[in-house]
Amino acid sequence: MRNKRQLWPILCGTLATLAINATAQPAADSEGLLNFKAALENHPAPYETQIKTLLEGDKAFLQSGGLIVLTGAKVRTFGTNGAAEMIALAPHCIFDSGGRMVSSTGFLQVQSADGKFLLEGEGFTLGQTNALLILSNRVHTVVRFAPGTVTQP
Amino acid sequence: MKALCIALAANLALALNGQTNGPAAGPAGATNAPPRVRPPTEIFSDSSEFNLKSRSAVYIGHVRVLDSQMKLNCEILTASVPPSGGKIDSIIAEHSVVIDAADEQGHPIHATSDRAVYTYKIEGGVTNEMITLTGNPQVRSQFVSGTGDKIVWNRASNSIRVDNQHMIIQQDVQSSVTNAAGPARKPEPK
Repeated sequence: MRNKRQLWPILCGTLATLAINATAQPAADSEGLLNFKAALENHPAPYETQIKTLLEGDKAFLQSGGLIVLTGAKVRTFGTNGAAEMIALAPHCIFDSGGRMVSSTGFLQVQSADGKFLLEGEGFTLGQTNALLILSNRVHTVVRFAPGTVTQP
Repeated sequence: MKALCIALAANLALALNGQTNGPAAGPAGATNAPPRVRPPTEIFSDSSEFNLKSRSAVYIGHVRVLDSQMKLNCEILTASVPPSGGKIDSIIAEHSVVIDAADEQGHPIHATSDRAVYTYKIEGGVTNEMITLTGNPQVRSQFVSGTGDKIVWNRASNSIRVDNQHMIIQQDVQSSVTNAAGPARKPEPK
């Protein structure tokens, strides 16, 4: 395992090349980095300082080829006012910083901030370049309606 | 980025079942019972793809839509949102489409086809909301069974049009009458 001090320049260099603003803290157990955060996308002007999509992980393990293995991963999206819109949770996933892609063979759950929408499945790929989210197995979507929405008599 | 996923799925559920915002109109003399809150709609499938550029969602394999007002099964379900956003304008259900719903009196309606297309348009201030069944479409309710080349259900007017129809009106369990353009049973000679 590489020394943490050696990993930091690699991480920062990789992410800086992609214009991704990432932060992390050295892990207490010297395995990976704690509290990984990478702003994947900002809103267009005039809200260019507002983060639109944020990738987070409880732990990040740097791999060769620009791959970052994340545990306890979250992808959160925000509106131009900074309000949370959506959160995606994956216990384990791989962030391909070169291909700008997040994928996993494991579980993914996507939920809107207002709780009206839930999407979950096993095995996923989220491509930032092609803007394609693929869920491979056992897809389950739940749409809850607003309190004012009623059933027909 | 995934906000579109939310919009797609929410619109999908609404479009499949018809949006019923606001208080439901109860029958005359109805009590002031609180309106039933609409239960959630669930969609199950083997896999799915959300294309955030083309603004489309595709559910693939053993697709099941479960809703308080309708159940739909098919193999592929594709939904898209117009570039301008707003309500979903197209849903296509393909392969072994089975729809179970209820009419206004609560009687069950069972429909099958190879393909069902939902479209939603507002033209000249008029809402057009249609479900078109093609590919050996069949509809069966308590009193009427029908087949045809194409069955079009206008949700706005709640009317059904059948092209080249072959309707069977079930008057009771023992007898039936064949209607319209399809091959009719010859009446018994008197």
